[in-house]
Amino acid sequence: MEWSRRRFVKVGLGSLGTLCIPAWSWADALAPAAGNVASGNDDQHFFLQILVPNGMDPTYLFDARPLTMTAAGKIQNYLGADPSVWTGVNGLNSLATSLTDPLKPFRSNFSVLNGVMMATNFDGHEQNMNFLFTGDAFGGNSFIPHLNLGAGSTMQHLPMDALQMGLVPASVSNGSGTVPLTMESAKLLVEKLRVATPLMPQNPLIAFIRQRMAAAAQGDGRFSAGAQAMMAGYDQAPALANMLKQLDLGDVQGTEETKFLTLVAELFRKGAVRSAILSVASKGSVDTHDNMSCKASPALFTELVGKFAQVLTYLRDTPFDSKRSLMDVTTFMITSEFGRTMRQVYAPSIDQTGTDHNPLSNSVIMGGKGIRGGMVVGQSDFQSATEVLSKTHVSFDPMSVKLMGRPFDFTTLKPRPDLPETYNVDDYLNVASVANTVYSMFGVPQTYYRLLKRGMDPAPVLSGLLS
Amino acid sequence: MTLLTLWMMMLGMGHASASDVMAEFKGPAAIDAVLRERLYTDAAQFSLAKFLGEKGDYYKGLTGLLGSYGGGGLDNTYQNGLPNVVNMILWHVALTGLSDQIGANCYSADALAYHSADALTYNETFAAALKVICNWPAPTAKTDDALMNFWLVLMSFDAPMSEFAAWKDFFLTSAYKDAKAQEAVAAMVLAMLNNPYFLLGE
Repeated sequence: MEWSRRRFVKVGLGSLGTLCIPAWSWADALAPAAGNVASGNDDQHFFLQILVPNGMDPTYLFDARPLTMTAAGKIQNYLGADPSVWTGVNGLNSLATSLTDPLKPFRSNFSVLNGVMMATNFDGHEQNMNFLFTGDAFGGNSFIPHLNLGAGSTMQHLPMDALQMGLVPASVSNGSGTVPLTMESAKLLVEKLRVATPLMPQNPLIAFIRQRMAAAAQGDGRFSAGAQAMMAGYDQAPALANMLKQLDLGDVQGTEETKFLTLVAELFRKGAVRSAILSVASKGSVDTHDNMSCKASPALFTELVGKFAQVLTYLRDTPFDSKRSLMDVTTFMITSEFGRTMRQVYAPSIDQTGTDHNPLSNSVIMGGKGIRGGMVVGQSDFQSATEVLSKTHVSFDPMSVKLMGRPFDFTTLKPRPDLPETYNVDDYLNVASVANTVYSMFGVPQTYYRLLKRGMDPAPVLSGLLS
Repeated sequence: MTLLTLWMMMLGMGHASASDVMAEFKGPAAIDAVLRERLYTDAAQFSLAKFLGEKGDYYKGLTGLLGSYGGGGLDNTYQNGLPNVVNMILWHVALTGLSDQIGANCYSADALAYHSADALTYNETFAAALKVICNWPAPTAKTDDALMNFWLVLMSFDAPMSEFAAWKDFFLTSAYKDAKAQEAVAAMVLAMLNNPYFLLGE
């Protein structure tokens, strides 16, 4: 149907009854279109999650161990080289393997968090992936959509919570605003939108369709929740469709990651999406239980670090606008759902072992907007073959095959020297603090902050990490 | 899965995933199957993907974003079925394409070909219902019987009758009551197909 001015008035007047839709106004429907255009304000803060699923071994990155520990039979090291000291600007050191060399040019852009505790009672992939994203081993609401709450937050709500590339194996309840859009699909969508009938909320037919979604959305059941999500999508659709129609995606060459980042950058600029999740694929799995795959770790981490460096290069070298790079407006975080054990308990020898899951010590790389770069935050224990472990460590890891986060000083962001005899969750750097630190940067209300334990206060924000 | 995990799940201490708490789209494969059955005779050829400029691979491209199975083997799961802003746009594009095509049959009721533009033949039941409704805005197209018949051949009993009542009321009272048949019919079809009762699974 063509919408001439005369026809619009005629149809509009004849449809006044349909305008009386509860809990909705034209102003509400049109608000996103007016507010989402990038305009150089402080709202231009985005988040990029780089995920390596299946449990990445931090000891091949920034939480390495000396060869003396390998000689003592404590930890496998198929790189066969001693790591070097990685000095933080805050005075705390860690050991980094040569595999991290491609990241050295970016050392002022990111900080390394070591000894980050995950779901200590579970060692499964799914439970720890859930814990990473939702704060609950059984899943729930992911922290990433919370960065785009709108109401109650200091940030404006954007049409999409996140773009996603690759698999994120977590049970997430609030994932409807997370869209797995590829460059190829986006191009086709733009092409189609340019010729399709516009989805205009002023159109009485569109208003009627929306009214039926609203009617179906009444209630607490699954169906009503689905109808609510349809309605929310429908409300955001006109603004997003208008943005998408204006996209000029050109002919992007390069890897799938580069194409995805190009799409992300363009949608960040348009104010169409708050976050992106890049689940990194590699030729081999980081889940190196068997010794053969574990022996391939140097090649595997060469590939992964190469991809990390590629992403950081893209963020640094790609303009967001005339004054800022993508790195200037994007906070990024690289992590996995947990770390790995130093060796397997019943391996025949240290050079014939794989590694198992270790939720007691993970590493997180955080950088970009709002993050103070160059720091080393936290530390895992078992820094030498003869180190005396805390009773807490031994209770979690009687076979002494795991690294564990040391007790943590939340003020200095450094490890504490004490050796706790019993486990208190608030003695340690937990991924809950990492999530809350991200929340604090994006103005997420405190009611969303993760608790360390039921009935406890929210996990402390790592204020010293914020620039 | 550890015993502790199993135990906690049995106690109901686990959170549900999104699909546990929210109905997902039936997906283009299921919707195609329904439309083939209700609209066409030479059913196998129909695919909504055509309106997205694709060939009908349900698991990839834009069509895959409407809800599809993916992952392979033991990891094969239903993906992208949660309603979001992008798949709402995609449903709009695809369903508008189909609705306009059905409405286009009404340009000349006398010459109604009962064929969609891609030469698929409408089945007898749908063609008969469409022929009557193509008389719009004549009174013969606005009877309860004509409207109910058209509603049922497309929607069947997927939606409660209150949805039919709202749909009928809209088209009999809005500016569509005087619109040309092709415009009104396209709008009627679009309103039905975009209804949550049609698109969402149980």
